[in-house]
Amino acid sequence: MHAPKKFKKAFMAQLLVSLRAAGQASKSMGLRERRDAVRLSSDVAMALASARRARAPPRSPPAWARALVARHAAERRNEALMRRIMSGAGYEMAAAAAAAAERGRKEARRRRIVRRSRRVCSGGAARKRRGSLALTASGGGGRCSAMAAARRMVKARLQVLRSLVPGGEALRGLSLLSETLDYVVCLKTQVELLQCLCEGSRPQLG
Amino acid sequence: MEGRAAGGDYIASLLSSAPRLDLGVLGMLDGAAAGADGGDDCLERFCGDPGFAERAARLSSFSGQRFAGAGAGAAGLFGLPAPAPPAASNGEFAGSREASSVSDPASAMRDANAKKRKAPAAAKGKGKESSSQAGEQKDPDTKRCKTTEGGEGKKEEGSVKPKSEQAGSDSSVEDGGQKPPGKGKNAKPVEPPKDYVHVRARRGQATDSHSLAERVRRERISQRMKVLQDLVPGCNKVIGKALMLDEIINYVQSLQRQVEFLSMKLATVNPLDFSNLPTLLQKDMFQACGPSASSVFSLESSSSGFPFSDQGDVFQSFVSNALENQCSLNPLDLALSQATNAQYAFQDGTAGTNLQQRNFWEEDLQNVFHIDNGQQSQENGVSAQSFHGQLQAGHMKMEF
Repeated sequence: MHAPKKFKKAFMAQLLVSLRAAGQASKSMGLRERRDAVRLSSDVAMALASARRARAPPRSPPAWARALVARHAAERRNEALMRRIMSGAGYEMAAAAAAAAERGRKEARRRRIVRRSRRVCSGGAARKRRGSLALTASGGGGRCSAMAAARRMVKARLQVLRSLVPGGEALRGLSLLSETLDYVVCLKTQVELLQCLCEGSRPQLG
Repeated sequence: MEGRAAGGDYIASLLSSAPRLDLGVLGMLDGAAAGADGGDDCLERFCGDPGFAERAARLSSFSGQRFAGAGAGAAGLFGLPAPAPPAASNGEFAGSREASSVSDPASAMRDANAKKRKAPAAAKGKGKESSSQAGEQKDPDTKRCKTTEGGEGKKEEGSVKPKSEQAGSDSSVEDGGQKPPGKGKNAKPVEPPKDYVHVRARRGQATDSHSLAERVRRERISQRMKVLQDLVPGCNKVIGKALMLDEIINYVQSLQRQVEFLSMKLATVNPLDFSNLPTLLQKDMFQACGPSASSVFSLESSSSGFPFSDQGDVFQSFVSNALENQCSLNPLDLALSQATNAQYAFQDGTAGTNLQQRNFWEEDLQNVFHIDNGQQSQENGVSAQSFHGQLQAGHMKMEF
């Protein structure tokens, strides 16, 4: 299911504005900085457009949007540009979100360490018991291990997905999939719009 | 997260078990919960009941996180702090209660059920809503909680409670003509829409709340996966969670890489001079963005009026306007300035970040315009009049 036209347009308009702001920022930026500025502006545009669309049938804006903006806001050098794009108050919110995200990440890390240590403690005892049982159960053992292997695979991939989707570390299961869905749609739109812009500015070269 | 869906059904079970102990309290419960939205005379009544208080505490604490908004309010209503009994006790509690609840006279149970459904409905509906998703497009409306409509009489027949299915008598009474084919998929009821999801147990499957909740969750997950499958090209051939996730990951990575590459390209091609962008867009948007975009634009060109009544539409209108016009001047800027004029009229009516952003853009763009062209005032004067209908762009040729 592709993005509705309204979203595309809102995104594009926002993109134009942010690119404009970025262009105003400095005419003498290096290539890499320019590229970062473009990426930043397009990401912010994406987040803003998606937030606006989420307002229409009133739902909460997607988690990845905040995380994305927060991620950009966290870098100090982006501050001026972001301020210009998003207006001062918006930037404050983004900075606050960034701080909150940082704290959340630390919390999650702590929790994970605790969980892992607990598992190690109990796993050592349980595994011995389970191992002996599995050995005795002839055919069932193979099946169980296959399922366990599949589950492990899925878990590993979910972990990778979590690292990919912005703001995904805190999500689990169902919400992760929803966020991925939204994020994929928006990424697709972003790519299309950027392509449009590229095509548009190409004749300039001649 | 696993507790989330399970929590809902636990609450349903807890509340359904309530009549076993105290029907009077139950009536109050429903009254109070319904009065959670207003009216608090019931509050004192059941605050006085210790057994109920304990149940309520367990309820609120068990699904503590889910009920962040609604439940905290509800728990607060009950006037109790939230202790933390272990979940196991809840399970047993529910289990013992349900067995006893079965033997209740069917009518009393039905009445109680009917009333109670309103109670958890409000709280659970909110909880489920907030937890379900953020902005997913393909809305699983069939599974989503619907609000209760009228039809009191139908409630007993149509609704399904996970626990009540255990009792043959109850189900036969309640389900009426509703029984779907035994092994079919879980039928979400089309009958009186409630605020939470009804799950019908399949034949030969465990009907305790654990597995039912898990099944609901699994169905939701599979539904999302299906949507993702349609979205990600090349996922159709693959079956199985792990492989599909693989594909999805690859796709996301490739999209991200594409974004980087394109932004790099944009940065090289266009040294970010803003004045060029709109004209370029105007010329090339038609070809580059494909037939879908152009169809929409043509549609909008046919509409002669600017729907300035809505901020969102302002956006659309000026973007589309920019793309329709084939005049030599920079129509996007013109349209934008026009939009800014229009916006000033609407400033008072709107609020929120939307307005903030727009105001910000306005002043930014105004700066741009002021710097670049000196005929701003004239253009504004004309454009203020030409609100409706096409732009009088042809009359004004402004050069940057």
